[in-house]
Amino acid sequence: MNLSDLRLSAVVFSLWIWLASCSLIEGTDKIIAPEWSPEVALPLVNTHISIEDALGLVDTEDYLLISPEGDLSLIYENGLTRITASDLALISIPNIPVMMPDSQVVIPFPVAQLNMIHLKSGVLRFDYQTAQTGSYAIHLALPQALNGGVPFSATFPVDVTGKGSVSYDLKGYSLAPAAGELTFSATIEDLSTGIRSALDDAQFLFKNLDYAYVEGQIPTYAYSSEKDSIHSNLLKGMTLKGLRLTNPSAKFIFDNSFGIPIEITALASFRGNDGHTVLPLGHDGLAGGVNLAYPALHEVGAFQRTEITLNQSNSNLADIVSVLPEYFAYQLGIVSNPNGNATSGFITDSSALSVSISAEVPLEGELEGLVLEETVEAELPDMDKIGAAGFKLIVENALPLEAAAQIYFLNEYDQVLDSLFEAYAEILPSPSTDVNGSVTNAGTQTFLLSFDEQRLAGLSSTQKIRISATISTAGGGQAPVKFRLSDAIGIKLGVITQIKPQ
Amino acid sequence: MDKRIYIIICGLLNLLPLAGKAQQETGLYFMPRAMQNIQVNPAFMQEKTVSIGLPSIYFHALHSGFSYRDLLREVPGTDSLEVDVAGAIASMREDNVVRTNVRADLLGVTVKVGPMQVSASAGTRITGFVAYPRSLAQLAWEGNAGFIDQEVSVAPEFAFSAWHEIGLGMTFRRGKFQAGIRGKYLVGLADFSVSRAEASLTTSDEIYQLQMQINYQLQSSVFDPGSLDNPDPQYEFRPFTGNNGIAGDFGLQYKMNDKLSFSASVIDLGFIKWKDQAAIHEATGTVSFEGLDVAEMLAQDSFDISLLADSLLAEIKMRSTDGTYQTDLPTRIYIGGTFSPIKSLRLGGVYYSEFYRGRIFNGLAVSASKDLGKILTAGITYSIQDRRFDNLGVNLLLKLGPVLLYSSTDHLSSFLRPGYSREVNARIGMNVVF
Repeated sequence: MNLSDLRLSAVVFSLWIWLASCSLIEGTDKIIAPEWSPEVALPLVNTHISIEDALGLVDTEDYLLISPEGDLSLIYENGLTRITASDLALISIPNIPVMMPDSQVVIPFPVAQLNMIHLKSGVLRFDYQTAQTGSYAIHLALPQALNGGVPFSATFPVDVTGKGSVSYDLKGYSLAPAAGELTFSATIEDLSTGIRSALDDAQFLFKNLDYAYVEGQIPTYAYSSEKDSIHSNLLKGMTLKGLRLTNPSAKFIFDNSFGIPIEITALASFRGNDGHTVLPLGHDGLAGGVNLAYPALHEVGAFQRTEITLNQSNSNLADIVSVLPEYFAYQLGIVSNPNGNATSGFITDSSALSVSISAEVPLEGELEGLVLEETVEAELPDMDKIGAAGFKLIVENALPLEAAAQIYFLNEYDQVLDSLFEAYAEILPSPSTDVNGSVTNAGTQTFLLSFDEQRLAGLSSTQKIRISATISTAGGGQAPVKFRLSDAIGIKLGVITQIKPQ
Repeated sequence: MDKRIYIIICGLLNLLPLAGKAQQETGLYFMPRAMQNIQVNPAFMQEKTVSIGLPSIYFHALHSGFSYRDLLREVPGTDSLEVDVAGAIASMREDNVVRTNVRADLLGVTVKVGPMQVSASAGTRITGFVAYPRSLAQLAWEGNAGFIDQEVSVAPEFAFSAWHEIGLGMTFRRGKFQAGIRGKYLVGLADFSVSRAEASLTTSDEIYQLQMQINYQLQSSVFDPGSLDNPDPQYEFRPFTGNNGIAGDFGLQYKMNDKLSFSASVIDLGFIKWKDQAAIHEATGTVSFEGLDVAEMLAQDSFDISLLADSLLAEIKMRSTDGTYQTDLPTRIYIGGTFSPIKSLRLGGVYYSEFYRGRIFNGLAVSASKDLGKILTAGITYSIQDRRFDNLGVNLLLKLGPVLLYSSTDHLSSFLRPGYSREVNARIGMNVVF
């Protein structure tokens, strides 16, 4: 080893150590963080909703009928009116004052054609005057007034001279005339001798008589109910080019517990949702009068039902449905014993006639050009974290409908900020249907919707969304279609968007 | 030019295409006076009768994806740096690797007895390995919108391992041939590695439905990662464990004459059996998200996004079981030769290949070293590694009496231009020779 070797070695190793001490990393305080804005593709919605699924979300028992085959019908049931005996006022029993010039007087039955009146209230008042002195008794009898089969009779003592009055409650008594007459007798008996004689001055009064049951030939009587109406906003705002439903039907149901013949007429009219088209209900039977079934004498308290069905062949129901009725007015006319029959019938104080309507509209037919427009309040979420976005929407339509729509984004002043589609878009493509109108193949439509940053920013002041749609049944509404439980719609929505987490 | 030298050079040039990814130390191969060179070929015999290797350290780190400067770029006109993730991704390859190796040799000794040389050594090795596909980085940075209708691999894999190594070797010389063998007893300190890594993400072109398929198997020993669905890493250092293994090094050298020699070796052919606190963790399944089913939400009358997340995660089956497993060491092959036209000058070349975790790492290096006086030997190496052609290395050996100081690096550029370098390694140590 010599000095030059050592010097050379020292230089080389010093150089080596200097190299090893070189700094690799600069100060981190000079580093600018990058802007991270990835572009992500995500599925948002992937759903398949059938009519059966949708029906499962709501209680449809009251308005939807599903056949075992899965066919659907809208149903509507509602009571229209109830007419009671007091409404008809067929039987009215007047107060009956009768002077008694003799010990017995015969009076005609208060309602001539009746065979029997069972009273639920009433009073018999007897006023008398006597000049006898001593102990006497007054005997009253009305053999045609029976309570539990026992005829009315009353005896009361008299031991003062002059006027007197007694009253008897006739509740529960049945008045059954003999040959159309009631016979009332009143005698005074001298208790010391047992001799009966007529009173000098007497009168009796039947008052506040009200029946629980009457039987006999009920008179002919005409009654008109008050006009009534039903109003619906369900179809408000809709305009329609054409609607033809297959086999709609409606049924008027009369439940009658009056034990007498009744003829009923019904006048009804419908106003379309255009506000001015008015159609009367056309049905020969209802307009001309229908005889209702009624319970027999042995069926007191029972109801007999009469149903009158309206359909396309016997009425103008299809025309009425086509105008989308929003208002239905009706009035009933009732005539009791219209033919003046002498046949006995009955009425009770609880007799009633209930009228209800049951409509069934199979979801089968043609709908053309139903225009719907709805504006809803809506505020879009904050989109600061999102750059551009592109949506891909795939609609697979197996409902027997087709629809074109446009969606508008409005500000608080109802000014249009933007629309979802460039033009009215066929959002529900028409499916294929068979000869029966059932869907065979779904219609598919794909939409690509682009929103750049500027467009998204323009939507930030959205306060409302207006949806405008035109709906027809499949095939442009030119052939009838049928809705089934299994009909469904598939919606798939995905998005490609640039995210700006910062 | 000597025909044999011509053949050697052509042979080495033909191996150039194979010089792909490689992270191996080449300088040691061209340092015959450093007894540590038996780590690359146990057939190498030392000059001196007795060589004692004192504690030395070797360090290596590589990131094949991008360099520091690929990620951090200067902002023109300022002294600031901006993070250029897109640029870094553009620099990546399909498959990117991060590797680190640390070797701390505690003690080593070689003793020559006639035509024989015996050797012994003890040390500790730590290896780290992470591989990730470029698509994973693209997915994280750019999002999945650029991968619609593609199945994208998103499966990173990793392996971290540490073990003690105690070796005994023997070298024989017979005529022009030298053969060497070294057996090593291994004690595994800790391991956490992926044994099966399959994961892919598919974005459908219909409405961008997402599907992720996962088939992962992790294994751990001494290091406890916790459960897959509730990670809770725990590690307690223990100098000795019940994890044992063996490995062998085999080498040959043929000295054609005083000037020319050829050599070949296989290093680290072995394995470690992990059984101490060993566990296997699996995660398999397919997670699909196809969009919200509005009909179902309406039917349930409520929507809880945490329940949606739970239902998606429930598709992944996670399982942890106690069990033993085995890991293989990174096995290397060296094939090379040296030529000394004059006594103080040595020219050499080596081709090496490493087999690790189903991958092959290759490299090619040439070297020239010169004795500068009696105490200093300096050499330079040029290697093609990791498809990079700028690997210039330096090795130095300083002999001060019986003490030998040595140092080497294959990547001088990592010291001169650290920001642009993707690999760095260095070795420093001291031997005593008699």
